Amino acid sequence: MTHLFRLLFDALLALFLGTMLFQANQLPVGGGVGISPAFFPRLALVFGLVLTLIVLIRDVMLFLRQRKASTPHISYKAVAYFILLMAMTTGYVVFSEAMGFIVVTTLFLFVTVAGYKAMLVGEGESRSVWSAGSLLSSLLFAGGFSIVAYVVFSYVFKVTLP
Amino acid sequence: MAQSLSDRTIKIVVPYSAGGGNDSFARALQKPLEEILDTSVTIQNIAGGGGVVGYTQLLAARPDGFTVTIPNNAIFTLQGMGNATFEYDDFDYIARVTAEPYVLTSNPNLGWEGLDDVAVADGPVKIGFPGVGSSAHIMAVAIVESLGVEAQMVPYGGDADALAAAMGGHIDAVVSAPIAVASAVESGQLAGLGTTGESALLDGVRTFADQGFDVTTLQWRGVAAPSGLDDDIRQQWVDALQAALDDPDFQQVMTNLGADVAPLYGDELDAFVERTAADMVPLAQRLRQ
Amino acid sequence: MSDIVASLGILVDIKVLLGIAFGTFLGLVMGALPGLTATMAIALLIPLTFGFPPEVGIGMLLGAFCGAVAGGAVPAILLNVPGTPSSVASTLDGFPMTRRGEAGRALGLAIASSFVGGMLGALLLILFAPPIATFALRFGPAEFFSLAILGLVVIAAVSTKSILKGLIAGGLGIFLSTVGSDPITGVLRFTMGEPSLITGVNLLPALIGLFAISQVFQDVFERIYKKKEPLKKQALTSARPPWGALRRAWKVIASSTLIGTLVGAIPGAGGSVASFLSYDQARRMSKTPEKFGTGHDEGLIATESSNNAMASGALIPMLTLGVPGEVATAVLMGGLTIQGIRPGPMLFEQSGALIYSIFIAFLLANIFMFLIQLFGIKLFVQILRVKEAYLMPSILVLSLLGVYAATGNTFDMYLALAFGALGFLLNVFGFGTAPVILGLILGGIAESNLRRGMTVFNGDWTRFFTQPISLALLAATVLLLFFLFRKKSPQSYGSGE
Repeated sequence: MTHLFRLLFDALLALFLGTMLFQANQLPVGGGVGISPAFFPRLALVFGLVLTLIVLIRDVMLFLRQRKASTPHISYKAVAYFILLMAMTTGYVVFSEAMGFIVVTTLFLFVTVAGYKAMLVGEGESRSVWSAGSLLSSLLFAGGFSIVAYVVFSYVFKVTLP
Repeated sequence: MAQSLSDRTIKIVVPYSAGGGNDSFARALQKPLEEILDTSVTIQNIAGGGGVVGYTQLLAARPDGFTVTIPNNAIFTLQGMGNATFEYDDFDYIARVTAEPYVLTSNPNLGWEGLDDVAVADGPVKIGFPGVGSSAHIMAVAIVESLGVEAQMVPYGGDADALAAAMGGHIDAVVSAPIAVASAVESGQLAGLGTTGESALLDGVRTFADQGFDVTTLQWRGVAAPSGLDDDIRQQWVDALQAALDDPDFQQVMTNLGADVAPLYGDELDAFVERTAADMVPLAQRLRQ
Repeated sequence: MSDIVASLGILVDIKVLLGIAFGTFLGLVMGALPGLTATMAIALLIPLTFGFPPEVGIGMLLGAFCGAVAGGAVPAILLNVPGTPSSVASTLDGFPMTRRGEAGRALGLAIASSFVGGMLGALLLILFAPPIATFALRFGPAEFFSLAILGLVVIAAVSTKSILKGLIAGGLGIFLSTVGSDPITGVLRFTMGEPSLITGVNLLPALIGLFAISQVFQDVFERIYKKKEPLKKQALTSARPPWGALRRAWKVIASSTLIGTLVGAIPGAGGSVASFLSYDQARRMSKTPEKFGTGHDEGLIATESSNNAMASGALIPMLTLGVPGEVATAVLMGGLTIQGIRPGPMLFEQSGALIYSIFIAFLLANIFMFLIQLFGIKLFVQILRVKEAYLMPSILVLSLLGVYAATGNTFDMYLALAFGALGFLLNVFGFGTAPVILGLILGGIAESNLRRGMTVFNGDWTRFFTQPISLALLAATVLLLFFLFRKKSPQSYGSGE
């Protein structure tokens, strides 16, 4: 893992905990007996924040020490795939409400399965990912899975799907 | 050309997860309604925010009678606690189907047998209930005020925790539903002190009114739609429900769930809703501080 | 005695047997699907039982409960995706075994441990239900608080290589447990105007996100980044219960069963913690504690035997007091109520025959669970042969579907996705996800009971130390902390990959 991303994550985590701590301080300090609603979140946040800052400082030192030894190579490709998959899945949730479960699920599965196959090219997966046969099997799988899932959930479990 | 409820699929929105009392109630209604109306009835569970999410989504539907929900006292408490954007008169209430009282029980080692014993107890009495801001919480407040006793309110996460705490003597008394305590009261694990109304499950426990305390609010379940319901459709619903209540399977499930079938429609229902709202909303608002 | 004979009569009824078998089978399937938990399995079966006679319906529900708790281990071991909250701990040693090519053996071990734990737990239930229930009732605010604190320290003990990072993840989980309506005053905390958050961060979307969805992200990531090494070829010949290993670990089984039953029996203690407590206990008893987390027999035996004992334990307060031990049992109790059975003390006093048929049905469910899984092992392992291109997207869809089926609330699907991204990042940077889920479960218990205690004790905090059970739990916590910091100092902080 690249150290730069590690630092980024530590910093983001610290930022999140800090922001929440700021919010926790806006909570009303309840009267009466006992402990206020703000006490526990503050405790957890201060605890988490302090430890995160320690980790951050250590990581910064580690980063500075190792910079000369190894140039950190950042895999932008991995980050791009992560963001892409995240966006696609979010899109899936958004559209499944509006357009119906079967259609959207079939589409989503088709794209992800085909994409996955493309990603695995050269690793046991044949090169002809975009061949008609491969695309067809992805499509069949996607459609079959969606329909089976729909039937099982709607009729056996009696869950109303969009 | 007036619409008929048989024209389309009817959707009952249950604002809680599958498996709870409201869900069972809706699912017990499902089959008789399908037979009577000759259409399919689907149940959609939309849980979240203690009912806020489901009720809010229902209110976004058209008031055509094809999308309805199961109302209960949570509508009033959610409004009072300020957790919901809706108010209770955003709904058109079609029917009350079942009603059950709230019941106050205590740890048997305290030797309390009735409400008078609590009223004269050396305070503060520790009263537990399931869920902060729940209707049981509101009722606990109402009960304490009626009894005029000094009390400490102890919220629990759910029925189970609150009842176990009362049985174990960690708190003195607990407010809950009859079904939750019937077995424990019968066996003497908990002492039944008073109910807010008659309950077939707890015939040995006297009501608050009998003992001279004015607490009569009931928990209830029924059918409601977003406000703006056509009168003709409403009448079709009432007719269908009246027929459905005669279904022996439905009655069996209600008996097992400990809910007394006590239907109300029309003006009587409106009066009941207004009265219950007047009992609960202001108290809930006060809890909000 | 005549009660027992009468109850045996009910259970030679072929319809009842089929009901139990069918319920167990469905429970296993649902437990094994990421996204459907034991609670969901029972909730979804309840409408199905409407049409059956009570004995059949009860058998189905008990079978589903038993099956779902055990079924959760299958994806935990094979895919590192726990099927239910209580099988989170089984990923710790189960998945490394699969990586080594011992999936069949791991499943055999898990199945046998579930069976033994379930049967022993059921025996404890049958023989000692009333005294265990009385013990459970002694848990008041002080005891719950101390139990939760012990559990939170266990976070640090079982978490990732870096204690520091595990604690951060735990702290994050505790913070997340405070989101929503304050359990004592009802003040809204950190909800940002989202109504779905009023009742807090739901456990299911968090679990699915942190363990199932994050696993999919991670798989894609590993593929691209470092060309994930393919799984070792699975040795299928060993796909049967290794009884010898179980016999050698009898001490682990005994302690795990006891912990599982007791924690399961305490209403509101969060039963899924039992397997972590058992895991930690097994590690401290072990001669080879360093092997835990690398695919060690004892670890998997501990979590799985504890899991199914927890299921029996959770039935104890339900049957004796009418108070369910944890969430799945609460739904189970609702299902039994609809069948016309009111679980509670009167059941014990009045309908002995019924109680015994429930016991026997539960024992049978355990046996069916064992047999079905035994024949299923070879089939389960086939999952690993499904091409990842098909498997990973399917897990993603099933996870989201499970979340939707549980609450019907779209917000929870977004929440699960957000937790998926969070879990992925936490894993990649060495923080781990198990502490987050434990913090989420235990944080709420610790906070509400601390504050409830301060109310009930009139502000006298010394009562947390003077109640005997509470004191014992706190003492155990201090011992554990001492043990922890002596053995691996915080300097062991490394790359934590």
